[in-house]
Amino acid sequence: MTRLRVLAAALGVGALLLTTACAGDDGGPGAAPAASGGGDLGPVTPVDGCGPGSYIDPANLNPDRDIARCDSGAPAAQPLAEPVTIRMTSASRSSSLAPIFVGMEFGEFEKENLKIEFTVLPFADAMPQLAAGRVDISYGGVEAGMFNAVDQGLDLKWVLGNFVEPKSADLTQPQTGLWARRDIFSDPQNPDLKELKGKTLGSTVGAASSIAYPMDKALREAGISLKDMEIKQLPSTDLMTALANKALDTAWLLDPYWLTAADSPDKYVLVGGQAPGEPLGGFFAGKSLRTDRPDVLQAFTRAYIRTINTHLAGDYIKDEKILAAMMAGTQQPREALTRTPSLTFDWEIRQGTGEEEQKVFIEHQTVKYTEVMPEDRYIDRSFYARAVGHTDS
Amino acid sequence: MSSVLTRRPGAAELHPVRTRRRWTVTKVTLGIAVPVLFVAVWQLIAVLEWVDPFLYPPPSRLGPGLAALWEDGRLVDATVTSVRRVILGYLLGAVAGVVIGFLMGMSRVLRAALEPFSWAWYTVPKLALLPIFLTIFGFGDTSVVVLIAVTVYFFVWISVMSAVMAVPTGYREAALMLRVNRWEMFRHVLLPAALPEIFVGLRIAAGVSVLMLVGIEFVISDQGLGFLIEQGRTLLLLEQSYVAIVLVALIGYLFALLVKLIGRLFVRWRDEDNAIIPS
Repeated sequence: MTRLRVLAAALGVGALLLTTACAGDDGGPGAAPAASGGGDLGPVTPVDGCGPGSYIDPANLNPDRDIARCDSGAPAAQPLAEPVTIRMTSASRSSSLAPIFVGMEFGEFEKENLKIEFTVLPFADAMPQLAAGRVDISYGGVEAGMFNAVDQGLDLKWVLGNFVEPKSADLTQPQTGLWARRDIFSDPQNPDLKELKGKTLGSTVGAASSIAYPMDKALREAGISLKDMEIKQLPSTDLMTALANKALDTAWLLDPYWLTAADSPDKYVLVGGQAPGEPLGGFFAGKSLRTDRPDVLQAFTRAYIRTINTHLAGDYIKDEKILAAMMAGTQQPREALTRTPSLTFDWEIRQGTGEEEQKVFIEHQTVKYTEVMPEDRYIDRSFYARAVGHTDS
Repeated sequence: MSSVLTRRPGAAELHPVRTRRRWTVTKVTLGIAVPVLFVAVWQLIAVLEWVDPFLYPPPSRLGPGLAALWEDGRLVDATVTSVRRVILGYLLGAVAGVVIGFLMGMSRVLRAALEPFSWAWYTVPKLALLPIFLTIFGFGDTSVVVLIAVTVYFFVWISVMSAVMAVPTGYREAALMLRVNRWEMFRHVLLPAALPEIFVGLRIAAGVSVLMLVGIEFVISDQGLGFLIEQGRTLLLLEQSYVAIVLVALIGYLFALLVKLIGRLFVRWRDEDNAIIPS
């Protein structure tokens, strides 16, 4: 009898498994993407203080192009009828979040009746929460994980850019980028990048992060590619140590770690910078803002753009009040913030950045699919276009 | 007035072979049924969408994930790498822990010299030592293996030292009356008396070594099952993470089982399971 009972229980469990397995997995890979955002916000109207220079054709990839700007104080605030709290995440309190921290300190979000609830959370962990509506907006990079998320049906879109590096094409200027040990080259004073073939490359996320594209681009200009290098994943804090210990041949060094390499120009050389003129990250919004409360996302976008135009358009790091706001927001000491130059903030999203990123990810199989996904599935420029009154959007 | 208590022989006494066989069948069935039930409930919850099936992929989705990892060879590579690292680290740490544990258990002088220092190091989270190990041993397997070895060492050292110190004084005195030398005291008294406790420590250390392996592979490695879990999380390929988590659980179980079986070979006199109420 006992055996019969055990057998019956086993059969029951098996049947349950079969039944549920055959029930299908709705919402799985291939689910349809959400409709493009923008919501029902009425017609786009011109905005005072935002002229033709406030919207640059996304197809203009010229690194020397003007960066979109309005007058100081524009676009004017249009407060929401009721106070709204936006739940925002970022992987760190990066100095590139200055428009948020400065905007909060100078009351730009308050003018829109907005309050920002900031939480530190890795972007990979934030994306599902974003799609589920538990997080409203996330700051992150154009990473392989984001493309996988969209490919699997998660409803999130890139709605605002973050910054560009105008000097990235000039490798004589020390900056964030691909740094190499001089001693790995046969002629250390005149490094030939072709010699990087087979060498190790240290990176925080490897061939899955947004910097995969500029790294690959720098190497392709020398006739090799990221595929030709052996990628080692290490925390950003350990990359410089690994380079110094000769455990790595090259590494992508972020702010402020490249400063150590720049202090020893006889030992290290900058061989590649960020993609000139192209923001590689920014803000990603999910359904809770884009579809359900587009007015709130529009208010956030206005406050973000107004903060850049009003407070962060120049060499803001020399302004004591801005610096104090950034020290409070980033929780970094003055020295850490003043060691690196002011960033050039750019709320726009260039055409083709995502496509180039995907090509690298597809080659390295860090995305699940094999065909480049069209931009409209993961980019929504309508909010920043509307904020500056770009009537063709 | 005196009373006589009579206990009739139970099934275990009357039919010992049949009882033992029946218990073996029950034990195996229960051991399999619980994980199967767990998987069934997991599948059901995901399919009924009580949880987000994207965040918690049901078991039925893990099959394709497993197949994809198998086809591109990453599953075998990662498993071989992780198993190699954990076994090497475990062996190094266990051998060192057993030797030092016995020496400290038997010598008051060594205990006085090393115990405070060792306890202080024991409390340090070993992952905090990773940057130091990376600087010393580089970014290859050596750092991973040594860090696992250090972790295992502390668990084994404590259990061995405690087991040796807990050997009843009566055992030692009885042996001394028979005029045993130090080797005989170790071989015939301390070792057999301490072995059961030592193998408990070795089993715990086996599990801890797998925990440490995954922790390290999360942080620095670009190989191994811990890396697959972390990569799956970062790339939002959650099936990959889940497949690797299941494999880690399986490896941890098999490793602890292996240590248990080896322990049974060495501690034949100990009942495998004496906590059962006689039927």
